[in-house]
Amino acid sequence: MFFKFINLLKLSVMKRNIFIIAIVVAGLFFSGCHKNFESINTDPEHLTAVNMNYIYLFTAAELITSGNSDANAYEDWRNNLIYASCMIQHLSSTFSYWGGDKYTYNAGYNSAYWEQNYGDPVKNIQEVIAHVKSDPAQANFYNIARIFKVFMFQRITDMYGDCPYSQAGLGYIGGITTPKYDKQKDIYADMLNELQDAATKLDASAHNTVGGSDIIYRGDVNAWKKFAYSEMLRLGMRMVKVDPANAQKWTQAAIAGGVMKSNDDNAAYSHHGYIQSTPTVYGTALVLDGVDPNASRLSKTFVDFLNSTADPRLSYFGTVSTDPTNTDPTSAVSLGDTTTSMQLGQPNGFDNGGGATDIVNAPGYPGNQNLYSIVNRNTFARYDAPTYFITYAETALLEAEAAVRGWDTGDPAVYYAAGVTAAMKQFDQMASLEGASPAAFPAISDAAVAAYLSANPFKPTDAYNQINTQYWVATFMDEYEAWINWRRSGFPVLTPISNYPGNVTGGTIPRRFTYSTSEVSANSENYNAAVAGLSGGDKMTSRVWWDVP
Amino acid sequence: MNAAVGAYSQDNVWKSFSGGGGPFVIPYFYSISNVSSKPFNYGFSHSRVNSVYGNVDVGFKDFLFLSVTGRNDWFSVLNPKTNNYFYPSISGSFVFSDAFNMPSWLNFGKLRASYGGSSNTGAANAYETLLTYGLQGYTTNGQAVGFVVNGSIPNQALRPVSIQEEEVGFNLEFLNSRLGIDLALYNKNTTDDIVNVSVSGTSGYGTNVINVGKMRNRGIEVLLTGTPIKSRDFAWNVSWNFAYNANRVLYLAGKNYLSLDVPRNGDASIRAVVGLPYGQIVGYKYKRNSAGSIVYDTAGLPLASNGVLPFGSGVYDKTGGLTNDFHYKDLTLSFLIDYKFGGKLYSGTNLILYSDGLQKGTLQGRETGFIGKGVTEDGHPNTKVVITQNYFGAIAAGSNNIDEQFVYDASFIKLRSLSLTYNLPKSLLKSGFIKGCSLSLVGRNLAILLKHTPNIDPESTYNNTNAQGLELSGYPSVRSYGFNLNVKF
Repeated sequence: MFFKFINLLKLSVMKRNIFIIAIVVAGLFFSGCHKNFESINTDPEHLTAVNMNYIYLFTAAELITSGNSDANAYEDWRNNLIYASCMIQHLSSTFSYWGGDKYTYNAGYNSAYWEQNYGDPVKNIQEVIAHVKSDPAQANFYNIARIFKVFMFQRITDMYGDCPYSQAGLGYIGGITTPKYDKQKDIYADMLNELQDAATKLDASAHNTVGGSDIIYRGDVNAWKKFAYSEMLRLGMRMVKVDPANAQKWTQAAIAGGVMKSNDDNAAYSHHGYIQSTPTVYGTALVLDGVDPNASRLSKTFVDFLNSTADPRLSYFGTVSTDPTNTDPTSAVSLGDTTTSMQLGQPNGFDNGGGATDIVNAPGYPGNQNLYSIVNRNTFARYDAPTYFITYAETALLEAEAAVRGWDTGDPAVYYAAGVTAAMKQFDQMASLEGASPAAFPAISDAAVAAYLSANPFKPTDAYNQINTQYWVATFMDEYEAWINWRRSGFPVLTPISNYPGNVTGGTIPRRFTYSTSEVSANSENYNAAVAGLSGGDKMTSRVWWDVP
Repeated sequence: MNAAVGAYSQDNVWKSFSGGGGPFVIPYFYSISNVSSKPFNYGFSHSRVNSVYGNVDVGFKDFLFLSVTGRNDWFSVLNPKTNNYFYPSISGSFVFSDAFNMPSWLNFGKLRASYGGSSNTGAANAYETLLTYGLQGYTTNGQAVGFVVNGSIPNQALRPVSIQEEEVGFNLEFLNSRLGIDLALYNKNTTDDIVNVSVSGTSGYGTNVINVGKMRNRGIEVLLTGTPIKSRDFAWNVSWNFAYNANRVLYLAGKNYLSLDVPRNGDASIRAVVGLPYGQIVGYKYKRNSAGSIVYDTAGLPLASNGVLPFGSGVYDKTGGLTNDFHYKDLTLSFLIDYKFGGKLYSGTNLILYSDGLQKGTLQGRETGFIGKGVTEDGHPNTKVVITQNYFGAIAAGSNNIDEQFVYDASFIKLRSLSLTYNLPKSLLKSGFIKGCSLSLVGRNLAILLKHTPNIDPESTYNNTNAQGLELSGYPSVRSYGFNLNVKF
């Protein structure tokens, strides 16, 4: 086209012999006007699929799932703490934006986990899987990634219900810009098959490319195998009401496959000590001891239960600080007073509004809100406190329930004791943190554990309540899991905050989070189809598939 | 006759260096060496456009003119296989007032017509045809952390935007050029426009850069100029311009709509919808019965429409302005009134004000409770009393979102500028060293003469691209007063 045009022009110009101006920039044409364009349009500062090592995206997926997608623990702050921790009455808050305390609504807080996780870690894990899937040398990496992907989606679907799964995170790889919402029932079926298949294919004797980039198990194939079967147990037990046959089948498959056996098997990410330039690597503790230190107190429900059983963990959960806002990690954090007798829980359902529901009008108000306990800054509110994904304590307690149901031949009392013991001994993993002071923070002694178990022995007549209440205690600060298991089991029996003005649940504890409002416009058809499948619409009161009343 | 050929190469290179640091090792010693951590960042991008072009201009007896051009562009930011575009143009004009004898009241007349093409790369930036990865500036327990660089889904098939435009028009001047009119009619078709469209966040990305399809702009532009009064000491010049643009999205790669942008609060959004003007605000309307009454649920809260509906475009279709200059001896007073009509605005500010009970509209029933005017689902008049806070909270940011409540007509008329100028008489500048001197008082954005958006300036949209029609706590146009001294040597 171009040459034809030039010739034409020359012809007409020469014939008429008229004034010609010609400017030609040398060396530009004739050999092609876009010779180097492909290299010009390749970003020299970043990696392409040719030279990328996908292990770094796996690290990112694990890191963000541990609670922090930005420098402010965005989704952990909103979903784990503001909502779940207060709804489940581990914590309580008088701050108006802590909506979980009184079931008020904030659409953006509801969808924070959704938006941050689909935005990065889901995309990252899909990239990993797509690029290592067909490489036999990466088989262990591929199967570890599949197992962790199940964990990621289990969280999402348990909180939101039906959600994009089979088509999620494939905007580039699959060209899918409006993923369909899979039914939770189908997601569960696929997740269970994935766990089974990946766990079977993990091979400790084969080449392993994962190593330290796996910030949970450093590539340990045997540990991932136990993780896979513990996750399978968790998924199986979720279905006890909606599909008892499959619940039993998968629970038994999980226990047969080999679940976690001790706290050494716990899946945790140990955040490193505080470095100002890397706030992105801290989770729950960053909120509790950094960006929002004064908003929450331990809930009265939680502290009263711990006191009623003389639980030695109370002083590990709580501390009383005269000034919770004093949190400067580079100098002295206010560690407060962790003495058991000093701990006091703040009731849920109060505010600082000056009216009838003002906290000063709460029964037994101690005269100063700072006399209520906050989360202990030697344990969970330390920057370097581990974030747990799945623990042996949870696993043993689920085994106890499976045994009660007759799905396992083990003795439920033994599983129960193992679960409670593990939950208490788990604090050893915090005592060994860098900089932790052993004097201020001794481990719970074997004698204290034994005393607790003898005072609170397993009672077969109250088994479901007892096991799941212990699960509730053991999942403190993994509030997602505490809330999900409460919805599944109904235990412990909590008294909802019934009549707070502006609550959106009719005074009941919320049973799911609402979808991202951007889906209304950016993914309308699939969003509408998913909402049509929710009995009460896209509300916090609607129930997910396995959540049968 | 006049002809030229040429070539052109344009490189856009962007580099950035940034550094930060903290905390100080020794307090109150302000030195870079005293900072324990000093992260450093480098950014780079490069794109190139190469072009060759040629043109031939032919004139006949100074009243008939013809110009033909051709141009080819190559864009580095597009797919190498489809990154070039050739576009010719032809334009002609005929000054008939020079070709024929005209009546004395018509002193200039010209007809013109043109057809032309053009191209660009729309919203495409460098490196958007390939997925790339980076490593974060931090590590965790010594481990590097990777990330996907692209926030927009890379598109390997990007083609140049193709634009075809036809225009006809005329200029006429009457009565010794005291009155003039310039009128143009145009029809412009844009195909393969490159736009960043919103995609579901569950895809892992926020947007997708694509060639979206076909859009038409048809319109008329009129400029009237006149000098109603012209005497030795006093003159009045007036000019009025008016433009009307009828935009229509014709085709969107087989889809009915594309999501262009979403607001920072609320759940309305901006879409391109086939058959409607670009930039439609869509959202939930009030559910109404066949008689047009709003329908309420048993709790007394209004129900939303089934699905989202278009409210109209956020882009104005009628624009213009009126300028007046009055000269009296050495004084000049001039002012500009401008206006835009036909655009809509979804106001995030008013949504928040409704949600927080700070909008005047939420005063209704504050003490006694609010009863929505309309009917229940079974057709009876709604009599349910709702606590006002709950009612407006529910429609603004709660369980019964009604976007319609926050969509306003964004039309306006503004007194855009006013100035009063005094030119120092030449008699005072006898020395000749100073050739001219003037003093002016000027004001801009002095008054909004008409608007329909409570609490906000109708012009405070997020931006003038895809988010026209979305607003949240934006600054109004800045009102300024000034004093100018202009001296010429």
